[in-house]
Amino acid sequence: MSMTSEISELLQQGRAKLVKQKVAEALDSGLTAKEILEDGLLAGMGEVGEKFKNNEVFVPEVLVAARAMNAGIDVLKPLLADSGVESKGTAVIGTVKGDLHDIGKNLVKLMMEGKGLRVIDLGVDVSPENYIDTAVRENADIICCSALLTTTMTEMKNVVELLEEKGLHDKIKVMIGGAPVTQYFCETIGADCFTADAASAADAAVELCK
Amino acid sequence: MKLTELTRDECGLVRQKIEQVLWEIGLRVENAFVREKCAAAGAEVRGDRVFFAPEVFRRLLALAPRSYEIRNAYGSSWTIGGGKQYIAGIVIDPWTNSAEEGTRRPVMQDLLTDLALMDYFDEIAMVSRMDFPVADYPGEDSSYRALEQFFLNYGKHISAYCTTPDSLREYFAIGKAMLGEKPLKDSGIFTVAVATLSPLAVTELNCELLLEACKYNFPVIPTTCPMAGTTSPYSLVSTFVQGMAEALGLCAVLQAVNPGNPYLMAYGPSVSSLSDGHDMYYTMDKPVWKLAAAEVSAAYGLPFGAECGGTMPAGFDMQCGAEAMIQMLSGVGSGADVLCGVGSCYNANGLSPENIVIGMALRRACGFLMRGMRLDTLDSGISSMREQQDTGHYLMDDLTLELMRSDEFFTDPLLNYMGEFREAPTMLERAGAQVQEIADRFVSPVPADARERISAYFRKEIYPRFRSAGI
Repeated sequence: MSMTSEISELLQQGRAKLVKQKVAEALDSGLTAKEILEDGLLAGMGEVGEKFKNNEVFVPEVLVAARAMNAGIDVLKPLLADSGVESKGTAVIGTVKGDLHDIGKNLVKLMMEGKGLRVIDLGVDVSPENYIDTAVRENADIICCSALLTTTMTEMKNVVELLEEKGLHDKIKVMIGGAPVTQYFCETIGADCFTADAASAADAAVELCK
Repeated sequence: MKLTELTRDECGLVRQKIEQVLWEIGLRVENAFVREKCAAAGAEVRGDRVFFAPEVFRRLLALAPRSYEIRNAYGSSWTIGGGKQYIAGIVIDPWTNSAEEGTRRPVMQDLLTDLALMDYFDEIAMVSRMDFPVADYPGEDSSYRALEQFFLNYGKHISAYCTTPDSLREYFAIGKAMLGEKPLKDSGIFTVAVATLSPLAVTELNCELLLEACKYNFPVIPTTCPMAGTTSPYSLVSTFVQGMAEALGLCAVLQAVNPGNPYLMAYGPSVSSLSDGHDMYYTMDKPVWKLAAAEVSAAYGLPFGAECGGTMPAGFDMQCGAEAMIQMLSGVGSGADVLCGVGSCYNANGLSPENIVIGMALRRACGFLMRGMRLDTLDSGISSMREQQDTGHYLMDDLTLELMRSDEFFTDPLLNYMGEFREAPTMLERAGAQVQEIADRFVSPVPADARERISAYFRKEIYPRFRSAGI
C-alpha cells in the first residue's frame, strides 16, 4: 500500500496521532506536501464524504476523520504556502441571525475543507452584513447560510437581497441549507444553490467555485 | 419488564373460580372412551359430563410439560417454553388484504408469498394454513392444490388446524410422505388444534382429533373461542373464567388420555356486537384477556401462546396501525412463549403480507420497550459529562463512538425516521418492497426427495378423487 493510501485509510479510521506520524514520514520519504494533501488527506476525506452520503458512516465518524485530517494538515501547513498549493475556492459559512444551531453547519465546513476549500467560519447568529463584509474581505466565492428554524430561515433572503443591493451577487454565490430549507425556498429567495446534506453541500460548493 | 393484568391475589381468586366451574359445572365430553380415561384419572363422570375436583385438576395439569420440543421433517427443532419467544404464523385466510389491490380472495401466489415470509423470519417456528380454495384454481380440488403447494414450499413445524378427523389423518399421511422412512410417532412435526366448543363442551369430533394427536404424541393447542354475550357470559372476567376453564379443562382431559402429552395453552375470546349479532374478534378487550390468560397459564406451569396480530379493518388506516401495535404490545408484554397470528386483519378473516412484515417490525419495537433502559453505561456517561464541559457536545465522545452502531437506541429499517424534514417511503411502501424482495428471493426449503414424495402422494391418493384430477 502506498504511503498516501495508508494516510487515507488511517484518516478514514479517525486515527489522528497515526495520521500525523505518517504525514511526517511521508514528507521525510520525499513526497511533496501537495501529493500528501491531495492523494492522502483530501482523498481520505472524500471517501468519508461519499460514505456519509450513502449512510455508511455516521456524523461522529465524519468528525473524528476531520480531526485526523486537521492533525495531518497541521504538519503540512508551513509547507503548503511555500509549495503554492492553492485552495479550490473560499467559502464563508455561518448560521443565520437569530439561530444558534451549528452542528450541521460544522459538518458542512468539515466536508468543504475535506474537498480542498478554504472555509471561514463565522459561527452562529450571523447578520447579513457580517456575511458580506467577510466575504468581500476574504475574496470569497460563496456565502453559505445555515438555519434550523422556520422562523430564522427568512434571514437567508436578507443576505441575498443585501448582496444584490451591493451589486455583488454576480461575484459571490449564495448556498443555503438546514432542516426546514427546501429547493423551492431556495428558488423563491433567489439563492444559487440548496443541498440537503453536508456531503452534497461540499460537492456543490466545489462546482460553484469553478 | 412485563405487562400484567391481575395482581397475585386476583390471579388466585380467578384460579379458584376456574376450578369451581370445572368441579361444579364440568365439561361435556361427548366421547365415551375419553370419559372413561378421565374417570380412570380421578375425575367424576355423570352422564356425558366430566367434573374435575380441584386437586385432580391440578394433579393432571402438573403432568403437562413446562417446555417441549417441536420439529420439522427435515432435522430442525425448536423448544417451546424454553425461554425464547417464537412466532406461530398463518398462511392465507378467506381474504387477502393487498396494499396494491385492496381486499380480495386469495390466489396461489398469495400462499407462496406468505410461505416465503414464514421461511424468511427465523422467529417463526410454526405455521398453520387456513383450509381455503385459491381463486385462480377454480376446480373442486382447489383447496388441495393449495395444500400441496403448502407442503412443497414450507419447511418448519406445522400446526394442523383441521376441521375433521379425516382431514387430520390426511395431514398425517402427508407427514409420513415428508418423513420417508422415519416414523410419524414421536416425530414432533405437527401440533394439533383441538377445539372446545363454548360453552364448556368437547364434542365427539374434537375428542377424535385429540385421540389422533395422542396416538403420535403430538402437542395439542386448544382453539377456545368464547364469545361474550352469545357463548359466554357478558362480562370480561366471566368470559375469561369460562374460556380458561374450557382451555385448561381440555388440558386436563388430554393428560388423562395421554399423561405427559405436550400442550400449548391458548385462548381466543371475543365479544359479540349486541346491536347486530356479529362477532368482534380483535377489539381492545383482547389485550386484557390475553395478559390475564398468560398469567393464569404461568400459574399452572403451562407454556402459553398469545395472539399478536389482529386488526378489525381490512384497510391500512390509522385504526389498523393502532390496533396492530396494541395487539402486538400486549402479546409481547404478556411474556408468552409463542406469539400467534402475525399479519392477521379484517376481524380475523383477512391476512396481509405487508401486515406480516409490519407486525415483525412492531414486534421489534415492543421488544425494545420490554427490554427497557440498561444501566451499564451510568459510570461512563458521568465520565463523558465531566470531559465534555468545555466542548459542549458529545459527538466525538468515546461512549458515542462505542454505542452508535449498537442497539442502545431503537431504529428499524421499516420505520420512517425522516420526520417532517425529508421525504421518505412510508412504512407501508417499505413493507411492500420488503415483501416483494423476500418473495422474489424465495426458494423452497423442502429437500428434493421430500418434494417428490409429497407430490407423489397427491398424485396417487388425492387428485384421483376429483373429476378434474391430474397435474
